[in-house]
This record gives sequence, C-alpha cells and structure tokens, in this order.
Amino acid sequence: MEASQDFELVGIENVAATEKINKPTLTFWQSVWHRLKKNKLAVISMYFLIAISAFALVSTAVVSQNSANQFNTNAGSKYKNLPPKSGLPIPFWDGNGTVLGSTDKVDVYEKNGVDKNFILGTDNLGRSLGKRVTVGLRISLFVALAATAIDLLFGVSYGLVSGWFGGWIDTVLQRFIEIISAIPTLVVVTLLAMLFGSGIGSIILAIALTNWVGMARQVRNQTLTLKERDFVLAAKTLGESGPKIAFKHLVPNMAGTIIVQVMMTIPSAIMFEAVLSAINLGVKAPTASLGTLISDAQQMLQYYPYQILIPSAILVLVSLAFILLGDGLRDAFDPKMLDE
Amino acid sequence: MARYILKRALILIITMWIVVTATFFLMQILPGTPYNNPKLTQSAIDQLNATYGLDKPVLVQYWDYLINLLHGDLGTSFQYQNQSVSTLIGQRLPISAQLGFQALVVGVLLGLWFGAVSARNQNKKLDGFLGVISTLGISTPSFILAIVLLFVFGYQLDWLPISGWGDSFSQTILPTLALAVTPMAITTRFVRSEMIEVLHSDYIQLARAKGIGEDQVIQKHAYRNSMIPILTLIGPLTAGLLTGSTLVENIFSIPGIGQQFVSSIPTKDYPVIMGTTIVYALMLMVMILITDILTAIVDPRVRLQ
Repeated sequence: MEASQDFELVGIENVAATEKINKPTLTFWQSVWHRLKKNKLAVISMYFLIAISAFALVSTAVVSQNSANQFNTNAGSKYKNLPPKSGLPIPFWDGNGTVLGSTDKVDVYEKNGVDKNFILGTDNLGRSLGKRVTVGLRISLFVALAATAIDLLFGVSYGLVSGWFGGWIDTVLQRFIEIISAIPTLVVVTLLAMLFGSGIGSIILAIALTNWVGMARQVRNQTLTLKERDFVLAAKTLGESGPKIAFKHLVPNMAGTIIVQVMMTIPSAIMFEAVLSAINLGVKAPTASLGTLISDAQQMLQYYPYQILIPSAILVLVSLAFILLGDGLRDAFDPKMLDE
Repeated sequence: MARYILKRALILIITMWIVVTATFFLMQILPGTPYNNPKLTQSAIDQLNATYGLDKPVLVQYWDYLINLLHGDLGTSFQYQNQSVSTLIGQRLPISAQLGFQALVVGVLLGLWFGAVSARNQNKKLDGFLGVISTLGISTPSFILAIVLLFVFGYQLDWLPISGWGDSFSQTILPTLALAVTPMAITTRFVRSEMIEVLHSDYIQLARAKGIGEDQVIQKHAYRNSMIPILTLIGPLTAGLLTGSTLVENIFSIPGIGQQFVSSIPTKDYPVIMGTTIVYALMLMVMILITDILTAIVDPRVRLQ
C-alpha cells in the first residue's frame, strides 16, 4: 500500500506512437545493396565493370572485328611496333622508343614519318593496339560470360538434382565430381578444346564444361540445408511439384551463393581463355582476344614490352574487379560476416 | 586408421582406372592423325600402324594399354622417335616436381605468415595492405606474373637469368616466385578467416581469462587449431600449380613435363598427352590422399566419418 505512494503511474498515452517503426523496412535486395555500399572497393569495382561492359558493347558499333584485323602490307614497316603515344609530354607515353640497332631513345613516330598518334601503340604488323585490345576485351568478356552462363545453368541443375534427391543419385553424382576434380582443369580444358576443334564456340564449351564443378558443389550443399526447412515442407504439403519447389523456393533462397560463385567463375573463365591461347588452342588468328594478344606478343617482350603488358594489365584489372565485387557481395549477402 | 587408408587407396585406384579409360577413349575420337607428312604412302602408314599397334581393334588396344600401364609403360611417343613416354616423362618429372615443390613451400609459408599477421591486426592498416596483396595475387594468373617478373628482373634490371634449368639455383628463382604467388594469396586469405574464427571461439576466451599473455594464446592455442583446415588446401593448391606450371615452364624454357605437354598438343602426340594426363591425375590424387591422411591423423573426428 505504501509503495504506491513512492511510484507514480505514468501510463502510456499514445500506444501507436511508441509502436511505430521509424526505420523503413528494407527488402532483402535493398539491405544487400545497403551493406554492399559500405564496401567502397566493391562499389568501385562494380562501376568499373559496368563501364567496361558498356565500352565493350558500344565499341561493337565503332571498332569492327575487321578494322582491328586489317593491316597495310605496303606500309607495314612504317607503322609497325610504334610505342604508345598520348600526344602529351608524359614519360613512357610520348612515343619515344628504341629503334632496332641503336640504344638511344627517339620519337619513333617522327623518325618513321607517322603523323597519327596511336594511344596504345601498334603491333608487329602495324595494327593499332588500341583497336586490337578493344576487340580482344570484347571477345574475352563474351567467352567468359557465355561460359559462365552455361556453367550456371548446368551447375545449378546438377547441384539441385544431387541435393534434392539425395541417396544413391547424390552418391553417384558426387563421385563423378570427385573424378572430374582429380584431373587438373588445364588438362580437361585442353582435351575438350582438342576434341571440339578451334573456334569461339568450342572454347566456350570447353571452359564451361570444366568450371561448373564449384557451382554444383555450392548449390548441392545449400539444397541439403534448405530442403529441411519448413517452407519447403509447406510447399510439399500444398502439393507443389519438385521442379517448381526447386526453382520457385530453393533457387531464390540461394541467390546470394549463386551470384558470389558466378563472380568467382568469370575471372577463372577469362584466365582459361588466355591459357588456351597460350597453348595455341585459343581463338584463331587474326581474331584478337586478350589471351591471343598476350601470347602473340610474348616474343616481343624484350623490345616492345607494351604490346604484352597492356593486354595483361587489362586482364588482371578485369579479374581483380570481379573478385573484389565477389568479395563485397559475399559479405553483403551474409550479414553475420560483417559483425565479426 | 589402417582401414581408412585402405579405403581411400581403393577409391584412388578406381578413380585412376576411370581417368585412364576416359582419356583413352577420348583420344580415340579426337580428330587428326599423327601422320602429318604428306609424303607418307599408305603402305608406310600401315606399317607404322602395325608397329605402334594402332591396327588392332580399339578394345584390344585398350586392354594392351591397361596391361602396359601396370608395368609402368605408357607407350611410345609419336613425336620423338622410338622414345618411350615413360622415359620422356621420367626425365622431366623431377624438374617439374622440384619447381612445384619450391613454389608450394614458398607460397604456403608466406601465406601462413601473412594470414596470421593479418588476423592479429584485423581491420588495421597492415591487414588492409596484405588484403590488397592477396587479392591482387589471386587475380593475376601465374603466367602473366611470370611475364612481368621476366620483364622486370630479367630484361630491365638484368638481375636473374631469364631461362633454362639446372645450371644454377638462380634460374629457379623467377619461375618459383611466379608460381608461388597464387598459393600465397589463397593461403593468406584462408588462414586469415580461419584465425579470426578461432580467435573468437570459447577456448580462446578461456585461455585469455586464465591470464595467459596474448602471444602465448596465439602460439599455443590459436595457431594449432587453425592449422588443421589449411591441410585441406594442399589439394586444390597442387591442382592450381599443375595448371600454372605448364605455362610458366614454357615461358622460362624449363624442360619439365608441362612444357612437353604444351609442345605435344600441336604435334598430336597422343601417347604423350595421355601419359601426361595420367601422371598429372596421379600426382594430384596422391597429394589429396596424403593430406587427407594427415588430416585424419591430426583430427580424429575425420576418421569417424
């Protein structure tokens, strides 16, 4: 009784106001974007990749495959192996280089009487390296994206089937993956590329057929956990068919895993394209890809290093951007990772 | 333990048999013949086919190949006349093995060190710097790194020899470095996340609560437990090294099996391609087997599975 005097009953005047949620509710994708934004490197990488892809697309209209492959047989010696020249007095970018037979640096453009500036220089046939790299980047990106798309389709289906059915199907499918992973990827890619013959299509297929393993593993593991969850049970009880559950309920729930895996697959596909070119199983000359540009210029390394370093740098930058974005996305999809 | 090893060895043999069978029949359907010389008459080709046993039915050839394989005979090279593939690979294998081993040791040791330093300085500048290094290392294929190293230290600075093998140790430095960066980068990232997880676990809290110094906590408790999962990395790292070494050997003119593999592709030297594939697969599987056994010895929970 006495206690009631010590306390004053305040009461809740406005229930609605205290219960109001002031923070806007975020959908899954909004919160992923919110977390991704905090990772500056990932965001920069994302814009870089968007810019590069846009450049590759737009350049299709400007720089055609033919214009990058053509060269003037008569003026070959005049235009060949010109170092990069920006037209501005920037060191290493001023068109100065050594000519065969002397060690002094001179403006090769003046000496050869070339009045045009090649921003990235020319190759040993006098073709603009800028154009070659543009086309090469386009082809390499196309090969990588196409291979990854096949990968995605095949790897996800394989993983879903393996995880969903379980039992002996799972055992057989997993043993098959183990056998595939017992042979080094390079060997598998090489054998497949030899089997399919040369051409962009066969390279894409060869890369796709070796890269799906990682995706299949990830999807299988996710399927194994997800299929025990209540929403799958609910869908089953409602009489949904297996494929419908898989693509309507399971796949959206593992979207994060799949996207991150794709970000890892693309750079590896870009790399394998280059590797195939280096062992003469890549796209056929005169078509340029980053890989063929690198392997063709290998003999020139000592005298004309820019011919190999420029496509190499682009290849590394693109791979780096994909990996950084992949890292960022992995953290963004998995909030637990950020807390640590 | 013995049962575990026996079971794993049996799986290895079965997998090897499947790999051999798959490569053999793949070679049968591959287009082209090793006879590129247009001057060869049909009778000469028939004679060559008879010498190499290529005129027999495919299944008989397959059986012969399997039997010969059990005797360590991988057939005769088309490219190098009368050289057996086993001899060719046998001469080159030690070179590739040495290169791969050096790269693995350098890469993993650096990775262990960098990863541990990164984890201890989590979210500090040093961690960020090592993070940049390892991400760059992952996105740079070893053959591009080989080219850059060759250019900088071989041509520009002229510090190290640019090609060859076996004359001096300095010849091995550039190719080893080129190959070591990918394992280094992967190990660094793996060790870092592994160590961070361990540092947050209960027994580390307990160790700290007991009042042991932070250095002791790291050395006695954190290191040991984060080392176990790293063993599982050795398999994938070896696979990556095998891929990288073929091109790196080619760039530095190292007479290893990788270079031989690359040179046998344009000449359609199928016995060499098959032999190399089998040797590669065997090397990779033995590596994985060894690490699995080591893991089982270190971590008893694995054996029960």
